[in-house]
Amino acid sequence: MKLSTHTLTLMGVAVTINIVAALIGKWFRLPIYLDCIGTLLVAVLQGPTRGAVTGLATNLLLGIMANPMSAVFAPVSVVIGLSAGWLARMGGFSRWWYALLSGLLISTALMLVAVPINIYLFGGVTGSGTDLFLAWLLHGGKSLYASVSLTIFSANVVDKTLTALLVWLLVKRLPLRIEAQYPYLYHSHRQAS
Amino acid sequence: MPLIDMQHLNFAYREHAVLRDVNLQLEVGEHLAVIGGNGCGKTTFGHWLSGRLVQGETGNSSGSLLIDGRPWSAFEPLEHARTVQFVGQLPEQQITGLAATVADEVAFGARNLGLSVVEVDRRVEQVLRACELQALAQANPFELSGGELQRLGIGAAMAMQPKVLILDEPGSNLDPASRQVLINTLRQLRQHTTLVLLDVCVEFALQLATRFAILETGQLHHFAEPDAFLRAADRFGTLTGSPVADVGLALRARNLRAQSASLPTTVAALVSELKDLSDA
Amino acid sequence: MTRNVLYRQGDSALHRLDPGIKLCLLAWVACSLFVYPWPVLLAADLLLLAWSASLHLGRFVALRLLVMAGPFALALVIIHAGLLPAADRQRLAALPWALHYSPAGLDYALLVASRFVTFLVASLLFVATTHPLALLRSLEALGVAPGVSYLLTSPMLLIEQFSRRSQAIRDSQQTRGMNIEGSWLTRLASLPSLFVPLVTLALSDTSERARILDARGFRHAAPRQQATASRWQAYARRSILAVAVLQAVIKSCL
Repeated sequence: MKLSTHTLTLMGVAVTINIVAALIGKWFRLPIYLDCIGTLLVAVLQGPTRGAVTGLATNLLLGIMANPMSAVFAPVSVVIGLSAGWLARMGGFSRWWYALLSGLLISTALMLVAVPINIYLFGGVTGSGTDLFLAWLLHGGKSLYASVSLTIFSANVVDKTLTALLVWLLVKRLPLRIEAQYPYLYHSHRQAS
Repeated sequence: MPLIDMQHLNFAYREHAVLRDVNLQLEVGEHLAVIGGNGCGKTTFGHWLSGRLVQGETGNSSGSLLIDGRPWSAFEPLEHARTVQFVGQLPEQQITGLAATVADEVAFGARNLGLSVVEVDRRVEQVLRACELQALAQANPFELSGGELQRLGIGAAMAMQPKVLILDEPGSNLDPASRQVLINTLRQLRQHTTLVLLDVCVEFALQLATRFAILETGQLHHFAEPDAFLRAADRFGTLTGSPVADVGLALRARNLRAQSASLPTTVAALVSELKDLSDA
Repeated sequence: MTRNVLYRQGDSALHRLDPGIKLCLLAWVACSLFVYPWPVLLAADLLLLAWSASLHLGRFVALRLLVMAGPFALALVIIHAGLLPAADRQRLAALPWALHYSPAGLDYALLVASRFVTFLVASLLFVATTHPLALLRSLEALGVAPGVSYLLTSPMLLIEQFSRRSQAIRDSQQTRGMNIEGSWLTRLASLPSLFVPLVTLALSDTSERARILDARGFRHAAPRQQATASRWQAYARRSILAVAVLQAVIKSCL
């Protein structure tokens, strides 16, 4: 798959936005990461494959630059890009309530990939505050698999839903001259009123 | 055969016609200034000329453009890069985003041409000196001011030593001293480099161009002499004219100087005119 | 860019070692995690920590280890040894109020924790002694496509510009009423005021930057004398990867 230079520069910018978004999230003091907003944007603008590559590049780069463990979760970012692109193809970002639903579906998809990685490589534990929730679920008698699934889903559903909504708004507000550069956007605009 | 041969170019973006029946023949080494107001289509014209329209903006077009007798589609990418370089209006958009230093930014394109390390270094040194960027050679391009970025964008294009250099409002971010530095730099362009200046004001045009044109309502009006060009510019009323020429035009409008007398284009020429008037 | 990377300048043998070889060593470590038991991995961790101290990276590695691995290891032990149901649960000590734990669970927790720590220490040594740009030049010399290199290099160079731009947009939007101090709903509603201009500007830059890259011959570089890796480096890389595969094969046969 030879990507055009325009696609490469878009993905480079999207990876940068993914990394900088975490900083922006801190300014607003909201319990969201926003660290896949660039991935979703590329998926909606150019399709699932390019979205997936953006996610992969983000995690690999974070692994080199900031947290070596980020690279291990690269498959999760790939799945986020793929699912967002497929959902966009089906009009999943053409209305705000569709975007909310897309966020839910993306959270589910990433959970399916993140749970096995998390359990097999990390014993289901993350070393963050969500481990308390995990411990509570386990203490309540749930299996490790169910507990880790619920923990990961809960930790991501708000973030991915809000990110999807934000991406819907971003593409809705794009100027015509920028829109014209991304034919894949047709899927997100065709049903919009 | 002219280097650039544009025949009956028409271009419309959606329903909005931008260029109408534009014709242009440029020979090797000519320096053309195209003057026009904001939104008249200069940048679109420059993009057409450089063969790099933005993806999705090809719109509706007709006419032909041949470079050295061939259309742009017949050029391989590196040959295209060696033939034409276009430097846009916004300085921060003219850098690759791949270079950690100013020197690297200048060297980037030259390296891609397959030049030897010695030749690349020579071109980099030459360009840094010409653009007065030597002190910033190791600086991060993203930390430069607007004016410095503009000089860097032009310098990086010059390092490619293209046959055609197209500059879109090159002085827009520069203070008067920096504008003069850039004018001096462009005067050092190799003799056989064809220069196309796209601008809203005539300062650069008067100091660098050998041919002049005005882009108005999508049409390109050519002028061989600066005098006719400045009078036409005044008639079109779309330009911020040269203050020197404006005074010259005002003198002629008040019949203080003969209409046929050549317009002054430099301060010295204007001073001489005013001295003649006061002596008379 | 240097503020955003973990690289620490130095002149040690590890700093000077070819990034491609270091990457292969890291891959070998990753394979070894599933071959050796936790006591061996913990011994390896101690050796790696001692080595990092000799490279004047001891504090750098230890701090990050504490922050990233400390809570993780603790949570692992509590959950696997303490909370998960297991057939071998027993009292920790011969006291009526002593906690119950699972020895198998503890063994598993130690295995996962030692794998995490080993990979983390090895990765930290890698990123601390390898400048990202040097790594990418090395990958290019190995024949990795310029596009891949661009995708990993460009963001590193753009991060500071984007951070500054975000701050500038934040400051100007705040003067127009964007509120990042109010209730969570107010703050949430203000998110678009920052992201919309940031992303729109970024997308506008994108097409221009692509045009500039194409104009400068990006990805069409004429053949020139590339800095090709030396033969011994190629042997070293292949040998390391061969050992990694071999030990996995041996482990699976045993």
